Amino acid sequence: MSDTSIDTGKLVEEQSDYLLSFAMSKLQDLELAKDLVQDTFVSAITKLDSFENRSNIRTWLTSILNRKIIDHWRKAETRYTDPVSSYFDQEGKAKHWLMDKKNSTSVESVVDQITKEEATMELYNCIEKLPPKWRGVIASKYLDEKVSDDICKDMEITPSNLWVIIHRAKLLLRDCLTKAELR
Amino acid sequence: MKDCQDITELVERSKIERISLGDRMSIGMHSAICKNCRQFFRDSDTLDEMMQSKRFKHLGEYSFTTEEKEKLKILLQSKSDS
Repeated sequence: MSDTSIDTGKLVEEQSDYLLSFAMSKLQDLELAKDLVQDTFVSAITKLDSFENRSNIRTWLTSILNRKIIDHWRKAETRYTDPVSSYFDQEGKAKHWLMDKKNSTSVESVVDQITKEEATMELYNCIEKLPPKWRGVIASKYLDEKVSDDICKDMEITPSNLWVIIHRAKLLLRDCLTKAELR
Repeated sequence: MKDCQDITELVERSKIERISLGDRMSIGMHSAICKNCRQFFRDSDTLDEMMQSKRFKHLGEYSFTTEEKEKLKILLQSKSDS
């Protein structure tokens, strides 16, 4: 490995699952998501010079991946053109909405959904930055949905430690999320 | 007199176990006069909501297999050497 390159093994271990989760928050196809993550790593390695530690490596990789996801959508969009005729009844004189086109989801709710997805992804990112024990507590409580007694037993903490850790973790998460918003 | 740290900790405690009437009253009185604590209570609820959402729980479910990671490492190593 040359001096200018980075530890690719470490990069894969630390970033691949996060990037895959990010891709899956936007795509439904796991194989496609894996391919795009692989492409992202390859692009990153070949243009490492443009990184220059200007930002966090994860932020940088995520922006490359995001670009690839958008490219995928754009290419998919040009292959599929839906004529407007499929939206309205073409039989009679009055062109009314076809049954399956009138009850569609509102744009507002989709935007809301996308914003929530991005915020959730950012929160996931923030949780990974917490001290290991706090991260363990948060994961046991929210992801594994363990009861407090079990969390205390597993993590070898007292019940009062539990809420103190949750309190502190939330302060950090709140800080991390609001800073991410400004970035 | 409980300060902001005590009060916000108490609120987290109240989400886990039952707290005394006196403590509940302290939270009520403090939040009536402290905007920053009120903001924390709202943020704490939002964080709970986000971390309890299905969307959030699904995030940890996706991962590469060990084999896929090894292949990826070899591929990247070859790219970075060239």
